[in-house]
Order: sequence, then C-alpha cells, then structure tokens
Amino acid sequence: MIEIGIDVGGTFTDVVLLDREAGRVEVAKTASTPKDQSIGIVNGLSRLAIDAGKIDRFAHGSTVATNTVLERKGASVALLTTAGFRDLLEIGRTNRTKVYDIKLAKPAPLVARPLRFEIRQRRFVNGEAPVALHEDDVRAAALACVAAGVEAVAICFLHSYLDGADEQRAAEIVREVAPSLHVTTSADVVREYKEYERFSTTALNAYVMPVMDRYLSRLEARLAEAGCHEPIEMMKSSGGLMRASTARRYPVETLLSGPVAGVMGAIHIAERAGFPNLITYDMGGTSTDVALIADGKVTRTAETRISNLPVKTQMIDIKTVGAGGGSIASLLAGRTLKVGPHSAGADPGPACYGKGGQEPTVTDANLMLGRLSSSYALGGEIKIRPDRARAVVGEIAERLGLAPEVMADGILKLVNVTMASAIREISIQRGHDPRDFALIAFGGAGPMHACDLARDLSIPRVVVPPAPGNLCAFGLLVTDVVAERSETLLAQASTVDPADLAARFERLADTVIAELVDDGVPRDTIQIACTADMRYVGQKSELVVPVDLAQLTIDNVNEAFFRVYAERYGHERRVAPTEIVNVRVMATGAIEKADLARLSPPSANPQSDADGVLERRKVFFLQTGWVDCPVYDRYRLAAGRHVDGPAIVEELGATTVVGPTDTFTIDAQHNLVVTIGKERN
Amino acid sequence: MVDPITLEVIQERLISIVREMRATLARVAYSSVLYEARDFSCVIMNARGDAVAVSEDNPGHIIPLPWSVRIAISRFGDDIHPGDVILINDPYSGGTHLNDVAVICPVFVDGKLLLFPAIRAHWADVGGMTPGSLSGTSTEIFQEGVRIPPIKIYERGKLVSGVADLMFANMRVEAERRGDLQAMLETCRTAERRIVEMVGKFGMGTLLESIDVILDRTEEHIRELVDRIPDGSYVYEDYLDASGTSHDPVLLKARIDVAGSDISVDFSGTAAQVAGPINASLAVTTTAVFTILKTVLDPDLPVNQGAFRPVTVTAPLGTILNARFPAACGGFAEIRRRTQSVVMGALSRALPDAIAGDVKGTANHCYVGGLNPATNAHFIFYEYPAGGTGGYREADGSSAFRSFDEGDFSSIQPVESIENELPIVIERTELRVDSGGPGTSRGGLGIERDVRVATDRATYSVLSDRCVIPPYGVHGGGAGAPNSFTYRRGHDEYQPGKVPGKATGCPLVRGDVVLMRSAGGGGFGDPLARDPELVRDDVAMGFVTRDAAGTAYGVVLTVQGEVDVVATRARRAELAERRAGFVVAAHALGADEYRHGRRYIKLNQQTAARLRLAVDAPVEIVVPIGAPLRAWVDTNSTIPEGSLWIGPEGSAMIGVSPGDRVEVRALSLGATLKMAVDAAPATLAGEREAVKA
Repeated sequence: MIEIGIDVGGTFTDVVLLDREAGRVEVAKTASTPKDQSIGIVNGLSRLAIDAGKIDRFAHGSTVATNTVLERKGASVALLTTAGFRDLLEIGRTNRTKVYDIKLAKPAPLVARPLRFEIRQRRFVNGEAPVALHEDDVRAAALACVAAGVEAVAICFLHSYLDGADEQRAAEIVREVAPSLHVTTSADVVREYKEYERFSTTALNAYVMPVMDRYLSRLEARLAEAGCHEPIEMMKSSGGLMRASTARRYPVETLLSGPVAGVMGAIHIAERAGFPNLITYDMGGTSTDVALIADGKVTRTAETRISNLPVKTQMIDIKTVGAGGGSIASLLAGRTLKVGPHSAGADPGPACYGKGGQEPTVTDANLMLGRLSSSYALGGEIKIRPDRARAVVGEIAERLGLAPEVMADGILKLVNVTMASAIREISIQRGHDPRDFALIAFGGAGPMHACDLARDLSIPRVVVPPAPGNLCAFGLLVTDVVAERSETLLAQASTVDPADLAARFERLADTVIAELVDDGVPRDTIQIACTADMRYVGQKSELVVPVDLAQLTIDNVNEAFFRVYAERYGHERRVAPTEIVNVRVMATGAIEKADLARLSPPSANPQSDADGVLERRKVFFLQTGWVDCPVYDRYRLAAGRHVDGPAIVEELGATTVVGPTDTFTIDAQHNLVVTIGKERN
Repeated sequence: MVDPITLEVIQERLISIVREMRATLARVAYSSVLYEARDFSCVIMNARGDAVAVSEDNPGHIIPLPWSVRIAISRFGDDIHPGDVILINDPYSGGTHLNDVAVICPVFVDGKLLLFPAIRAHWADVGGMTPGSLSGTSTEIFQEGVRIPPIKIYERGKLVSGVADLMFANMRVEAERRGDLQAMLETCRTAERRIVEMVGKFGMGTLLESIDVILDRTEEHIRELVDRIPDGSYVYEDYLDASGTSHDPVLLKARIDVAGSDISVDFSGTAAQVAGPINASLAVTTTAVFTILKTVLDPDLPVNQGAFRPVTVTAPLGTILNARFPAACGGFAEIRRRTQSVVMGALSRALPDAIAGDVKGTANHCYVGGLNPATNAHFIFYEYPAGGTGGYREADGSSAFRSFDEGDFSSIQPVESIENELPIVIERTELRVDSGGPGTSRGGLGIERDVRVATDRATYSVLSDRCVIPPYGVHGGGAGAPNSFTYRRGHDEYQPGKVPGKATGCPLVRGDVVLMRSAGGGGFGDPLARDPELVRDDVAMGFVTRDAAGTAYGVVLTVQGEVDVVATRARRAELAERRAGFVVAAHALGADEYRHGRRYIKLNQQTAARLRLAVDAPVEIVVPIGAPLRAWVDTNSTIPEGSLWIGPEGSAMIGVSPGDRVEVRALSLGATLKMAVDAAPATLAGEREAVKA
C-alpha cells in the first residue's frame, strides 16, 4: 500500500510517500511549475524511486483555486439571478478595507454587468412565490451565454436557501440548452441565508470550475500515463479530503487547500507529542500562516474573504501575514525600517541566491548572522552567495549608520514582531494564554525563527517535526475524508420543535453519509458531528454551538450556546431570547494515520562526528550576540537525545535555531522539542 | 539615543496593545453596537495627552480624544492618582456627540504618570428626549442626553457610586450601560498590564524617549509633505443642504495658509450655529481637517500627535464648526464630512493629483419603523447606503463603495435578513445609472434600493445631506447625482419631509415604497477628454446611458454600440463650442455677495437670457484645475456682455483674476418634491433606537 501526499506551494512542490508494508516514509521537494502544476507533481514523483502503478492513494493540496482568484485568471462567468437584483454581486456590502485612501478601488465583480441576466422569479420567506420562474428568461439567458462565449454559469436566486427548486429547474434548462457550460447553483454551494455572501461564493465557484476541471483532467492524464489510476483526493479549506469528482463540483472549497494541510499535519504531530494546545506556525518564502488549536479542536469560520470577496464555505481559521524568508527590508521615507510585506519570492529570491536580488531579505540576514549555512541551504540546490547578502544588508545599514550585523539582527527582530503580532491576535486577543500552548514550527523558515518568537510570546515549548519543510504534504496523509452540509433555519429557539430540529439534522446526516459512501468510505467508520449557528435575537453574527443529537432538547441547545457565548465574550446573558440560524452536519470517514517517525533519513551528512556535530561556527543570537555554536546534523540525533543550546540543527530544507538559554530533546516520534529558556538581558 | 530597531519594535508593540484593546472590548462589551458594529476606538496617549498609538480606529473618534485628555489634565492637574478613571462625553470639551463616551485611565509606573490608554465608544443610549438619544429635531444639547464634563468615575480604584448612580438613572437600559462601562474599564486594565510589561522589558527611559522620537519622526514626515505644497493662501466654500429649520443652505468657508511646513486652516465666514443638531465642536472640525490632510498627503501616515503638530485649526466661536453651549451636536457627522469637502476643494489647485471628485457627504441614515405584526413589537429598518467614490487621476471612482473616511463596515443589510426579520420587502437593488459625475475619470455610481412596506402603518425618517447640492467634480469634471430619499405611493413620488433628505416620522402605509438613492461620486477632469472607448464600455456595462454618452461626454455610438469616430469628433467640437465661456469682470462691485446663505454672481440680462440662466438659478463656475465654485445667478446691467462678476474672494477660490476666462455650467440640484397630504410629522417611540452617527 503506497500513499502519496503532494502539496503544491508557490515556490516548491513537496511530496511525501508512505509505504505501509515496508514501514517507510520518504520526502522529496522540487520546484513548482506555476503554469501547469501537474508537471511539477510528476517531477516530484520522479524524485522518489517508485512505480506509479503501485500508488493506492493520492492526496493533494493545491493552490489552483487560490491562484485563479488572486490572479483573476478564472473562467468567463455569467450570473442568472432574480430580476431587480443583478447588481447585488457588484454592490456587495459596500465595505472598504482601508480608511484614508481616496484612490482605493473596489475589487471588480467576477461577473461583468452584461453577463448578469435577470430572471423573472421571486419567492418570499413565508413560501409565497409572487413571481413564478419564467423558464423562457432562463432559456434566453442560456442562449445569450453561449453566444457570449461564457464557460460557467452561476444561478443565484433570492431565498433559495429555503427552497432550491427554482435554481435546480433553471440549472436543468441551462444544461439542456447549453450542455457544454459548467453550471452551479447557490443553494447547492452554501445552503445558508444572506444573499451576497452566498452569491459571491457561488460566483467564485463558477469562476474556478472550468479551471479546476482542466487542471484535474491534465493531472489525471499525467498520472495515468505514469500508471497511476487511483482517484485523486483533494484537501478542503475545512480540513478534510474530498474526491476529485467533488472538487470539480465545489472547487471553491479548496481555496485554503495548502495551508490547511500544514495545520492538519501539525495537529497530528502535536497530538502524538502530547500537546493538545498548539499554535501552528508555517513560515515560507512570502508569508506566514498561523492557527490556534485549543484542546485538539480546530476553529472554523465561514466569514473569510479572498481578494475582498466573501467566501461562505467552512474554513479553518488561519491568520496569514506577509512575512517570510523572502520579505524585503526597506527604508520608508529614508529613515523608518520596515520588513515586508513585499517579498523577493522565488525569483529573483533573496540577494544571497545570486539570481539578481538587490534588496536585503530575512534570509540574507539569517545567512549573515551564521544562522543559515552557506553551503547547506536548500540541500545545496542553490549556490549561496554570502558576499551578496553582506553587500545589500551593509548598504541599508550604512544609510542608518549601523553596523551590518546590527542591521541584520534588526531585520530579524522586525520580521519577528510582525509574526508575533499575528500570533498575539489569534491567542492573547481571543482570550488564550500562550503559556498553555506549544508552537509547532514548520515551513522552510519556521524553525529558524520559532524559538525567538516563542520567547517573546512566553510560549514555553517549540516542536519542530521531522522534515518540517514537507509537513503540508505529510498533513495530507493524516487527514480524514470529510463531507459537510448545512441549511438555514432562522427561528427563535423557543419556537423550534425539537423533533423537527432532530429531523433536519438527520436529513443532513443522511446526505453527507451518502456522499462519503459514494467516495468509498465504509459506512460503519463514518462519524457524525452536529452543530448549530446561534445568536441572541437582534445580533448579526453567530457562534458555532455543538449539538448532541442523543440529548436534543431546546434547553440543552440553549445551555450549549450560553457556554460558548461565555467562553467567547467573557460574560453570560441568560435572559435574552436566542435564535438558531443554521444547522450543520459534518461526516468524517477516519483513515489510518501515517507516522512521520518512520521517515527514512536521507543519508546523514558524512562530515558529522559521532555526536552528530557537523561543524562549529560563529552564530549571532538576538540574546547574546556572536557565539561559537555547534551545528548538528538532524539525521544523527537519535530519540532521547538531550542537547543544551546554543545549537543549530540542519536537515534537508530546514534549519532549526536553538537559543543559548534553550534546551532540546528528540522525542520518540523524532520531533525536536525545545524548552524555551528565560530571556537574558 | 534609542536605536532605530528598538524604536520600531516599541512602536509596533504600542500599536499591538491598541489592537488588543480593540479585540478585548469587542469580546467583553454588552451592547451590540460595540461588539458587532464596533463603533468605538482605542488610543494610547502620553502624560501630556499626545496621541501615541492607534490601530484600525475610526478617525472621527480618535482625533478628538487628546483634546478631551488635555481638558481633563487641566481640570484635575496634579490630582490624578493611580486607580483614577476619567469619564467624559461633553462636545464642548473635545467630544463629538453625547453618545460617544470616553474612558481615560492614567497608568502609573513607580509613582510616575506614564501613559493614558483611552477608549471612546458609542453608547446606545445616554438619555435625552428620544430612545437612542439622537434626534433630527433636537434644538438644545439637553435634549440629547446626559452631558458629562470631565469627571472621575473611579477615585483611587473605588467607584464613585453616587456619580454612577445619578448618571445611569438618566439613561435607558441601565444594565447594558453599566456592562459597557465595565467592559471599557477592563479593556483599559488590559492595556495597563501590557504597558507595565513593556516598561519591564525596555525600561521607562527608553520607552518614553522612543515615544518622543516616534512623535517627532511623524511630525518631520508630515512637515516634509506640507513643505511640498506651494506656500500661499487657498480658499474654498461649500454648503450643507439646509439646517432643517429652513430651506436655505448652510455655508462653510475655509482659508488655508501654507507657510513652509506649517499649515493653518481658518473657517471664518462659516454660518452661525443653528437651532438644530447640525453643529459641531472645534475638536470635530479639527478631526475633519486632519482626516482629509492625511488622505491627500499620505494615507499611510501614522496617526499620532506628531502628525497634528504642523496643523492649526480655528473657527469663530458660535459657528456650526465651533458651537457654543447649548447647541445640539447630534448631527456632527454631516459637518465633519462637509468640512472635509471644503478643505479638499481648497487644496484642489495646490495638490491637483492627490484629490478626487467629492463623495456623498453624509451618513445617509434612513429608518423605516413601525409595529411588526408578526412579533407585535416595534421594528426598525435601518440602512445608510454608500454612494460612488470620486474619479481620480489614475482611474474611475468605485460604485457603491464607502468613502475614504469610512471603515470596513456594511452600509446595507442582506435582503434575506431584512425579509426574514421585518415586515419589509426589498423590491430592487441596483446601481444608479448615470449617477457618476462625468469626467475624464468618471465618478462611481450610487445605489437605487426600493423598500416596500408590508405592514399597515410605518414611519419614515431620514438624516441625510447633499440631497440638494450635489458632490462636486474637479478639474472640469461634473457633479455626481445627489442623494435622494423619497417614497412612491401609487404612481406618485413624495418627499418625506419639508426639506429633501431630512424627515422625522413621515407616516407610510402598506404598499408604499421607500426609494433610497445614494449619490454618485464627482468626476475628475473634462468629460470631453474621456477616452471614447471607455465611454463605449460604460454604455455596454449600462453605467452610462447612450443619451448621457452623447450629452455629457460627446461620444456618439453606432447601432452596434461602437464609437462613431467622426460623429464623436464633431459632437465634441460642438459641445466645446457651446460651453458658456465668460471673462471674469473687474471686482468693482465690491465684496462677494451672499443672500440667504447663498453666493450670488452677476451677469447682464441679455447674456442670462441668451444662455437661459434665470435669476436664482444655481450654477457652477468651472476652471480646468481645481474644484468649481457653486453660486446662484443674479443679473446686473452694468456687467458687460460676455462678462461675469464673481467677487474677489470667489475669484480666489477658483484661482482667477479679472480678464481670465471661466466656464459657467448650469448645476442641477436635487429635486424638491411635494409632501403627501397626510404627512404631518408624527413620532414613534423607539424609532431612533438604532440611530448613531
């Protein structure tokens, strides 16, 4: 049984191979191929000496949907919507993201006005249909779509969350008239009220559908060519896998595919290392993703925006900031030092890559301070030029009248401030005490900054998993297959009949179970979780409340809401009437989890000595300045090993920096677990 | 000397504390206006009352706060001790309106007063004559709630319970008010803990020195920007539609003097305070000035006291911009917006590429309230629709988009929420075609929203402006369409109040349809210079009608919708030819003339007749660079044919002298409609509960 996890990022494509019989885990890394990601995937597979015909599972994290939206390279989309409301998609909620900017432009809608067709049709909340669906309008619109070269159609009617029949009928007609068009309907994508958010999500879905379809077809063809015929599974933003066939229908659910895979991997690692409370810290080349997991439970949100367009699908609550290894240090107005959010990316990359980068980056600063090896970076794939790093950092240092080392140190301090502030936002500012958490550091640059960040935030422990640069790909192999559905109820809790509520949950459960069974999940392994989105009457936003179907009474539902409310807002308000807005069911088909501890070490570096020390070099620490520091080969550090800082630990694709007052041990799963020492002033 | 890196780290830490304050208050507040609408702002000030750090906060709240702190410092002097908490909402002491209540907490370290974390938050009710405290009909501050001069609500850590009891006894929903005060205190305590941690980490000396450097550095930065504005005086004027008590517009006048890196703004000549809620304190006026300066100079400029230092603002006491006790101040937000328009207009020739066409210029509060038959309780439908933003050098304005001085909040609600919760049906929500001011860069479009009453009786209230006098275009661009709030009954359209855009409790019946129309943004540059292909696209998109393409832009399209190049060239030449060009007459007739709050210009009777400009017709005097001068027409036989008398000050506003040529365009004002016969003012308890500015 061979399982493959492949995560395609902006810079690298990471592969993890798991061979259950042989008990072997292998990793590989190759450059991404943004024009056609499937090429990079096949390249990645070829780095592992395997017979593609033996692959039994193929789990994939992809940035296809995200990039399509961010770069506005999606399909030509038409909208069929209730007459009188064709501009809703452009009007939105009229909010602006930046005060004081008189030249701020609102993002253009995904559907141009002439392709927004008005369909005579109207329903009211009470079920009345004052205007029946005018099927001729739909036919005319479908023909016009074909004439205009439209590729995908989003059908979005008001109040369709109550009854999707008109949308379904319109979809049938469009398919009849124009079978080549991709069609998606709003109640099918998110069966929840608030039309702009639902329509926007549906338009995004339509916008990505043809792109995702083409991509998956190419990938399937390439894999078939190589001999692999297993269905592809894709990571969803909510932290579950779905089949390619489902991803073709709901590509909007893959918008956070990549970052979420990392979070799932980190949760798995932390759980086995005994840390139920964790903060995931994924620092790559251009950005850093952080998420907080309390008591092993991920927080999901349905209030995300991409390019300022709302997406109402469930997503793991991940905070992203523009700070990464490639973040550029610059002087604003000639005197104020800023690091990021601009990044040198992969091309030209940091100055030390010698590919034409002229501006100092975080990686250049790390290199100058001895934290990053000048020979081992990226496994030696790139020839590092320390002289370039020194030159560009020195230049900016001179303008501020500082020594180059002080400047490099400053760049690291400032990028840490940005990342620390992101972590503060998801922890302290939401009422969590960082002292109760472990920081799980991964991504190419995460382990280099984790200990300093943890110290600043009073986080006592840092966990660096084996192959931290490949954790996202690994995460794909420890993620369950998940299906979820929701619908809007919108009623005062006191007026809801518990039997009716139970029936709704059961109906939704039947649907999601059927979806998983269709995907080949054995029925008896499927677990069901029910939640309700609730609020006090008069509020505009809801809290997610767990519902126990076995003890479903309105009192119990209310009690659960009061508990969640008190956790979130710090005080109870039992007297006010409550409202149930949406009900939601998630079905999970558990898979057998992979184990990173069985990672077959790529041959340890022959230069390292018996203790695993590769060399000693001068390293600059924020706390102490220059120190003569041992550099360890991670592949020579056995479980149970205990080391006092300062230390540098090198492995393929990542370097861990352990401060002078920190200590670390290698645990049974081969994680590097750092205990953060006190700050020395 | 603090090193530049420590300096950045300290600045980021301070801003991070403010962010934590925001998150904390949103988490622990009791009323939804705080935890959902987030109508509050947080700031850290130093012991002198200088704003040191803010985050994504509302400029209208924050900038007046240091004012309040200074007044509190001067009131209490050395009598400020650890554990004291100061409360203030008085508009005449750096406040905005009474609903915005500020809590100021001195933080002491080692016995030394170090910093003041402070919060200004909108309290849903502070007493007064109407639930929600704000009313379009108040004439004195006493009607708007409890006025709190700087007082100590806590003394040395102990609640001054007599003061609290007296205060809360005069407010509605007392428990919620007490909860919100408690939440504000907890939030300041959180900030206090973080500040003490920072002192531990960096040392008090380094922290204080860094703060001084941060302020100095910001000052230096803004001075460099001001320095780039050519020295000189810049004047401009603009109007609020009406005070609410008469149809006459309310004049605002600004004179900006730039000398090196100093900038002073004087509002002499502005209308006297009115017996309605459209009055503001000098703190609000100063806020408006700073908001627009930051906008045109550098949107990324840090907001702290250093940025305010080069700016001086004066307005005569007793005007709407520096109201004297006991003027009502509930409607300060409209003043703040118009002050921004005046200052931008004055700077339009000095910074031609930094500005944009003007915007909707009001909060656009619109309420429909009544009894909900489904719940037998009062309901309120409340929206404040955004308009289009102004065109600017690089691009067209955006449609249905909040203005530069507004934040990341919705201005309209989901149709599906409204129809679920209220006896209201939304019939239509569309972009308002042809509402964008024509220009080389077009203004963005406003919104049209038709709201049908689905209950037997309801009432309709509006607090808007720029419903008569539209947002101006700049550099030859045309005005955006004005806001409009009316209703349709049967086939007729009515106005809900005596003055457009201002109404209280207009009675509606089942089937009446409230018509909300928000303003388009002003255009930028001559519409005849707009790329005809862009006009064609606008027509294809339905943003501009074919008619308007021809009349406003001089673009003629073929039947297929393509640009007819030859016909367009001819049409543009004809339109340019037909423009009413005038020579500015000598200033001999004396000072500029104002009547009933309006500026008058003069031309001779024959000229007026030839151009079909009636006496009292509103016009714009347009110049190629700068904002237009708005005026009303008068005739005078001593003015030579083809000449136009403006007056010396008005001439200065558009940068012209006698002998220069200008263009006069008819200005179409927002229509004044009839009122329905049954529209005698009625009030409905609870109607303005959700009102906020």
